[in-house]
Amino acid sequence: MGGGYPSNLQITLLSPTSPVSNYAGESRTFKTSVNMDNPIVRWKLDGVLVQEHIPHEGMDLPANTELSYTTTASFGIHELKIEAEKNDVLVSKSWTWNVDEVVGGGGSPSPTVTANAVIDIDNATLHRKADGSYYVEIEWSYLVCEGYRNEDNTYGILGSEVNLEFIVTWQVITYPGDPTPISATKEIQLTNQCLAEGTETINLPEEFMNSSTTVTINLSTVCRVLKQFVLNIPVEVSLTASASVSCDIN
Amino acid sequence: MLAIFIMFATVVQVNADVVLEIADEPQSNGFPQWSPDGERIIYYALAGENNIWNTNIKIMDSNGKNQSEIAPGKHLGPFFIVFGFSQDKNIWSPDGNKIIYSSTFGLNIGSKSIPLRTNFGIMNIDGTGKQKLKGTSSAESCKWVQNGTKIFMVDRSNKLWLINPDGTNKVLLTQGEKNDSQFLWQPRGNKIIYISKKAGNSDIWIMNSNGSEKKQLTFTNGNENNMDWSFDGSQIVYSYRDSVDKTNYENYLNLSETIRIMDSNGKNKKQLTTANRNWDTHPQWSPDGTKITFQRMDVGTPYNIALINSDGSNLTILTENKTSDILPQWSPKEDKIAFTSSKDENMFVSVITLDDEWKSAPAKDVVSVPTASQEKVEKASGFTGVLVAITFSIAFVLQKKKTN
Repeated sequence: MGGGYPSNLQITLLSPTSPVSNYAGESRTFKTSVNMDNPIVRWKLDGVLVQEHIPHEGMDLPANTELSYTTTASFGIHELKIEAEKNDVLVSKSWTWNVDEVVGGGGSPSPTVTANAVIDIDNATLHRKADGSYYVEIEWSYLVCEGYRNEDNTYGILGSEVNLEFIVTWQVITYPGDPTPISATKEIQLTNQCLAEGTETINLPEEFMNSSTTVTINLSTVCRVLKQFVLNIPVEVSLTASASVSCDIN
Repeated sequence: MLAIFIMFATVVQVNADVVLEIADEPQSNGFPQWSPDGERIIYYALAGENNIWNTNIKIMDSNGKNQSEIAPGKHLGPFFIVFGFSQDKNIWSPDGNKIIYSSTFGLNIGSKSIPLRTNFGIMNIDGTGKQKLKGTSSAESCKWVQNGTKIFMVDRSNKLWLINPDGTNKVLLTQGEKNDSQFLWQPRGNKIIYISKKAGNSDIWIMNSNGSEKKQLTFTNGNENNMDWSFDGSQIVYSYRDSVDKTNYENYLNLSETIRIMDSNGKNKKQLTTANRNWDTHPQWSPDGTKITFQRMDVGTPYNIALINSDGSNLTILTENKTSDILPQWSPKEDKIAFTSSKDENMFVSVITLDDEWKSAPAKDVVSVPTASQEKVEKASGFTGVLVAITFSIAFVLQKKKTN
C-alpha cells in the first residue's frame, strides 16, 4: 500500500471491495481512479504487468477518471496491484482476489410431492478453494402445510416451524474395496415461513475426498393449524410433516 | 402511517408495525367480529382440544377496554358445554344488541372431548337472555339476514331455511347439492352465492334464495374460495388458486393464490393481485367498496395483512413483521381492521387503526329488503334431538349420583 515519497498522489479502488471472490471462468471488472491529472497507471496481476495507461500528447487522463481492467478469473489466490506514477512519485494499492473452482454439481431429480411437505435442491455445487479445502453450496426451496391449509374445517395456517438438515456424504477408501461413508451436516430452523428458498454453504473437513459425493436435505415441519374442533369452535393443533431429497455431485 | 399500540391489560406504546394487541395470557384469543356500529368486538378466548370447555366468547370495546366474558364454557363431571359463533359476518343483529351463538354439549372420555349435540341460539351481547333457536339441532350455520328480520340457516344436509328470530315460521328455501358450501346471503338483496364443485373444481355460483335461477359465475380450471359480498351486495371478492399438479413439483412449488373481484352477475371479473408464489386469501371489502383487505404470505414471510384498492392499485402490506397475521375484518366504522395474530405460540386479537389514506367511507345504511319467496313450510325436526338430550340428561344425573 503506497510507495515512493510522501505525496498527494492517491489511488482509489472504486470497485469491487477487497477481498474479491469469484469462481474460475467468471469475468471480473476492477475499477479505480487517481486523484491527479495524467499519471502513468499500471495494472499488475501477481506481479505481471497486464495493462498500462500512459498519457500521450493530446490524450489527457484527467484526475479522477474511472479506469477499469476486465479479465477472466483463474483458480488461485491473486494480487491485482495498481501503481500510479507522476513526477517520480509512485504509489500503489492492491486487491486480494480469491478464485475458487467448481469441481462438480447437480440438482435433485423431481422430488416426491406430498401434500404438506416438499423440498427441492435447485442446485448443489462443490467448490475447491485455492488453499485446497472444499465446500458445497446448496440452493434449496420448500413448501409446507399446503395440504393442511386446504383441508375442510381449517380456518387457516398460523405458522410453521421448519427444520432443514443438510447432509453431504462421500466415501473414503481406507482399504481397497472397503469404502467408508463420511458426512458433514448442518441444520437450520425457519419460523412461520411455509414457502421459502435460500442458499446454504457447508464447509467440508480436510479429509474430504470427492468420491461418490451426495447432498441430502431432510425437512421436518410442525404446522400450527387453526381447525374447527366442532361447529364454530376453533382450536389450534400442531400437525407434522416431513420430506427428503437427495442429489449426486458429478 | 399507522397508529401503533400494544396492550397487555393496559395500552402500551411500542415500536412495532402494528397494532392494538389483546393479550390475556396464557390463553390465546382471536377471531374478532365487529359490531354493526364498529364500537365493539366479540372474540374467542381459545382453549385446546383437551380442555375445550375453557373456550369462551368475550366482548370488548374497539380500543381493547371493557373486556368481559359473555359465554364461558362449562365442565360438569364428564360433560361439557361450549359456546361458539360463526367466523362470518352477520352474527350480530343489525341493531347490535344480540348475537347468534352455537352451544355444543359433549362428553369427555380420558383426554378426548367428544361433541354430541349442537344448537344455535340468540343472546344479548352481555351474555344474558340466551334463548335456543328451535329446529337448529341439524344446523351448520345461522346468520341474520333481511335487515335482522330473519335468520338464514343451512343444515348439515345442505337444506337452506329462513326462520324468524323467535324460532317460528321455519321455511325451507331450497336444497343445495351435496358438495355445495359457503352459502352467503346477498346484503340488500335476496340472492345467495355459494361454492359448487359441480364442474370438477370449486366455482362460485349464484341463485335466488328460493333456489331458482342457479347460475355459474366462474369457469376457471382452478379453485375459487373465500368469497365476500361488498356491503351493498353489488360485487363479490374471492381468492383464486390454480389447480395443483402434484406430479409436477415445480408447478407445486410455484403455487400462487390471488385476489379477484366480479360483479354479482359474474361480469367485470378482475384479478387484483399478481401471481408470484404469494398466497393471498380471506379478502374482505371495505364498507364503501373501494378497498379490500386480505392476508398474504410471500416466499420467506409469514402471513401479513394487506390492503389494495378495488381497482387493483396501491397494494400495501400493513403488518410486515414476524408474527403471523390472519383473518382480517374491516370495521363497519371504516377506520380499523381487526385480525388474529400469532407469535410465540400464542394468538392475539389485534386491531390496526388506518390513517386517512386508507380509511374507507362508511357503508350506506342498510335498507329493508322484501321477504324471500317462500316455497314450503316444514316443522322443525326435533324428536331425535330431544331423545338424545333426554338420554344424556339421564346419564348426567346418574354420573352425578355416582360422584356424590
